[in-house]
Amino acid sequence: MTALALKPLSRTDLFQEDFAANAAELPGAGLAWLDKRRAKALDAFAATGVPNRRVEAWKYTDLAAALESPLEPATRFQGAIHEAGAFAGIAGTRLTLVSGFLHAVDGPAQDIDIVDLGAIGAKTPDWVKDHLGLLAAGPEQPLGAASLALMRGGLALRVRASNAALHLNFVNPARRHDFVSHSRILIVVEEGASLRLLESHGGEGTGQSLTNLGVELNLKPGARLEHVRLQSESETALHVTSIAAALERNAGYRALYAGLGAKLSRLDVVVQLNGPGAEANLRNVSAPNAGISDVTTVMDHASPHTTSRQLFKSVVGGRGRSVNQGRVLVREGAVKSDSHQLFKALLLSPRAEADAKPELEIFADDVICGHGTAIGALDADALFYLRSRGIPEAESKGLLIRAFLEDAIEDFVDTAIHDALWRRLDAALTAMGQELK
Amino acid sequence: MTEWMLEIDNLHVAVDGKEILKGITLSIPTGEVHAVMGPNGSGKSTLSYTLAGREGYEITRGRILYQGEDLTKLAPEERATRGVFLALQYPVEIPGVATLTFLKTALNAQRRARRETELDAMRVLKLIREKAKALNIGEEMLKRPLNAGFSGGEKKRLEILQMAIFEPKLAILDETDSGLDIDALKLVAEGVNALRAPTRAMLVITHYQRLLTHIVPNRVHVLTKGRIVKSGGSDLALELEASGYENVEAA
Amino acid sequence: MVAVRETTERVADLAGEKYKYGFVTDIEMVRAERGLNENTVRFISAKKGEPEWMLEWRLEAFQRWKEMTEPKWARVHYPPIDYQNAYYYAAPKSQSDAPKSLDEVDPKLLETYQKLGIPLSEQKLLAGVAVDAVFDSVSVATTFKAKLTEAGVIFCPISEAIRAYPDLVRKYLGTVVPVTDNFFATLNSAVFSDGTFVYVPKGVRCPMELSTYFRINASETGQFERTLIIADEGSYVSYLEGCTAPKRDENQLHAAVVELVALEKAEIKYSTVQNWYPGDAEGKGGIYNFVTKRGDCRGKGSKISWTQVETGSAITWKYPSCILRGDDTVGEFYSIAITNNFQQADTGTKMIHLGRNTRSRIVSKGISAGRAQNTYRGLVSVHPRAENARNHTQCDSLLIGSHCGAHTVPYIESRNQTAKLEHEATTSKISDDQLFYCLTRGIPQEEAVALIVNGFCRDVLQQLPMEFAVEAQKLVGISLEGSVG
Repeated sequence: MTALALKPLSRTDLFQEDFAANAAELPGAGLAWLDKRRAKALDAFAATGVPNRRVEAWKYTDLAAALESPLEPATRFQGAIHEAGAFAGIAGTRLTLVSGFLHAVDGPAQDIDIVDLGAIGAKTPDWVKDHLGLLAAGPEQPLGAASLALMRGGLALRVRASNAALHLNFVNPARRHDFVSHSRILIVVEEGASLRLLESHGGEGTGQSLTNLGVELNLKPGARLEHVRLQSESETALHVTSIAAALERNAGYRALYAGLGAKLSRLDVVVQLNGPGAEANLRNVSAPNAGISDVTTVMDHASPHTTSRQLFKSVVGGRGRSVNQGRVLVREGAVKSDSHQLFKALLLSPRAEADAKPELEIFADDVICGHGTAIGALDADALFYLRSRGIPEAESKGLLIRAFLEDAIEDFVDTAIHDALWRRLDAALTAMGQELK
Repeated sequence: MTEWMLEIDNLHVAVDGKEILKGITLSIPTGEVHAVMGPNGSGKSTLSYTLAGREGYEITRGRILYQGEDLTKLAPEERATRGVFLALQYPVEIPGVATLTFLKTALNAQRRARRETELDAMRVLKLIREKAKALNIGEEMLKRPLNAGFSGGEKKRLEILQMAIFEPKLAILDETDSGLDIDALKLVAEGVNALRAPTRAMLVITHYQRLLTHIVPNRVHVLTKGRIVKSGGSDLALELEASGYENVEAA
Repeated sequence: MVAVRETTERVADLAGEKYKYGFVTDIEMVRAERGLNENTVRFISAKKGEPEWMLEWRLEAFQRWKEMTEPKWARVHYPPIDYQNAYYYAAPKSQSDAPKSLDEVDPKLLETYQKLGIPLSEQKLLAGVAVDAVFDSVSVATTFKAKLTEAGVIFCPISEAIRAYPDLVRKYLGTVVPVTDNFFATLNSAVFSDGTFVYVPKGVRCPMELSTYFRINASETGQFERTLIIADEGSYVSYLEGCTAPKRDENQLHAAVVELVALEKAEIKYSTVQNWYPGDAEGKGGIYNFVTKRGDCRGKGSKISWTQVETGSAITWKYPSCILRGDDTVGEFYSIAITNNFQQADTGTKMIHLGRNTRSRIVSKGISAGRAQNTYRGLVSVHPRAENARNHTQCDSLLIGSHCGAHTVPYIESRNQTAKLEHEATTSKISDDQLFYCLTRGIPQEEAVALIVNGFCRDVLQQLPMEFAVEAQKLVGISLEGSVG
């Protein structure tokens, strides 16, 4: 590594210095189309820099302040990885990425085109060129833009069949230095095709590493994507994932996100509903105990006859903070848009904090849009009822907390995924001091 | 076996700083069923919640003995474990917790606290099914989240099912008949009567007399404005029905 | 309030859309020189005959203002304001000596008041409302002083209070809205021209509703009112603020500051019906209304409620707020904001829960038509030590037509686990079914819209003092004329 190791950096220069020093060595350097997009993305990032609390969209989540030490860009991990991820054993091809680099591919081959972005070169298929870097790289997602400008690794996937299933197993092992990894996932689901995507982020990596992941989801007409994402890392980890999804007519995106551990985690999701019949249904469960769990979404109804639903539930203990920001934008002419958003947070301890900002920006009149937010504690009546049946207080609380989160999970995913998620959720809630059976 | 299951002595209870029960004295011998009747606002629910140990109900004077021991020192789950059961007037809905799961958790929690061996899933299921049958509660209802979407009658039957499963020593039924039609009422009454025993005592709290035709009490107490103004045998219920609460003379 | 009702009836009588108060009184005015510098501040203070401490206060504010920059974050767009290109003080020349009775008031001024529909004759005033009529930057007539004096209530122009009750003013001025709170508040602190001062003594229930009329006359004079209302322990006061302004081509700046202080167990009800000139059908001219309003529930058990019906101004930027400082305090905010043609509104409230067992309630109804943009911006914040805080917020938007916008930006922040905060928002339009039904019953389109919209706003209209409610309902109808076509 060059300049980075030699002088102390201002946090906001961190990424720009990396680019200045290393752009020529990044994967695909020299490919005109990619160079152009990387440069544009860097400008988009530079408009904000690493966000601090004075940037409106990050007012509750000061990423700049959380970066305590200079970070080196991650290099390929040379050891063996045994971590199979939270969704191990659930059918599908498993792709393991370590610090953002493709490490292994296991499981049956399916009719899915896979391109290793860490090795992108002149022979890149057209479908990658046509899509890579067009989403999650603009000024409204500055970290996403940086993940493209400084991309070292990642995957491009194209699905043309129905019922494809993939598991992206991101592993964050302990490394010698604190690092930042910039990586990208590009997914194209072709017309009428469908994909079930399981994504897990785990690892015992200690230190202050920052995972910066940009995810582009392109759903062609009638395409369907079911996405289950679990992020559960160490308490010192920093994690930012920027997802941008573009849905054409009659496409459907159905996602369940679970955020269970990190010093700071930010899931930044922008969904564009670009054609009639497009539909997005997002759910999130978070259980921060000591860090910040931030889920910020923008739901853009850019076409008439589009539907969106969002249900985000957080359980906050210890000194944790839950942040839910959801902007629903209904553009002029997007009549018959139907949008509903619900944020609920339970505060369980004196130092817990919840912040919510459900925003509506409506420019069309013939729409149905609503949102609701409720922040509070466990229902005293329900708690008493359970105790009056002999269930001890701690266990009663555990049951109610479990029920609160289960409401967002049950009936949304199948049993295998449900159970896999609950294994990790149980562990997180136990750590929060709630014992469950 | 103690002679007196429940002894309430000069009980004063305040809620939000306002005194609701103004000196209740009543005792129930083991093996008997007593009824407390009163108009709205008389303090019936305050009595039942106080007996179950709900927060917010402050005992300012008097005492409650359960099987000879001070009940007020025990937390709600401890009272349940020792055999006190309160069938609520408005059973709570808990979405996300399946009824079956709930019953199993509660039963085993109580057994554990009593140092009895917990029952495995198969045995619990068998036990619950047996008792549920008698109350016309089907498998499908047991799978649903607790009380969510249940009709008034279904909720009350589920309360009685719990009573059958937990086998309490003291059962307090708070307006179990409210909101029930005659068929549901009969079913509930049958369930309650099936649990009468020389080792058990019950306190049936009600507004109307009709439940007491089916669950005939040994003794009736009339509660108005926080005081017991008259006590008598089961005919007192019929007398009240005929003349109304206002005309009851103080004992 | 008879005065207001008459006004309303006259407005309703006319052909409809025309803004009634399109006239100027050609009384000779005394003005400060154009522009804003230290001398302007001194000029204003001298004209008001203020004591030294007040001038010092203003000068300090002016120094701070020079270092500040105008905020840019609100969702409103307007051409840059040239603060040096306006007059900051204007008084009718004939007011050098204050009138001791109505007989001494300049007849031309009285004529102006008649045009505005404020009958000052004693008979009309038996309706029981004191009217403190502000003509541009100087208070001209204050009536019913006697009745209020009897109750011990002080209700006078703030310039008079500064001279007559300096201790009271010094004790409370700037304690709810600090001088440097925001750009417009600081500007106001330097150049405020007049406004209302109210003090209600311990245990007194103010015998009538208090009200103020405003009018901006001279072109390019910003209006900077400063209002301070203090309700001492156990007292109650209901205050009504209603505004009108004449037609103008140049935009006019209105940057008021209102401070409310409620001591133990006191209650203040502050109602506003705002009808400033909104700009013509092309969006030209119109008032810029940048107002800072805040209430401090300082004493235990006190309550402050804000009720507003905003139908005017080219641009509105105001967030009447409550600081729930004392234990067991209550804050309420009820609002109807209507924007039509090219109006822009960014309004809302802040409820800051600091004490224990505090309650706040927010009901906001936004109606957007034409090419207008209407934004609700709110903050509900619970401090870590604010045990048992409760909030309920309901924000509803109604869109009329496909070229307008309705936006909701709520911030909900809880740092105490015992707080219960609930927020709900909906967006909808006037259904074709509803309109059709009215038409089949013989109700013409415009009236049907007014009827339906009034129904939409019912929760808020119910909170207004009765006479205001009548004017408000008519205003709601008038402001939406031409919106459904």
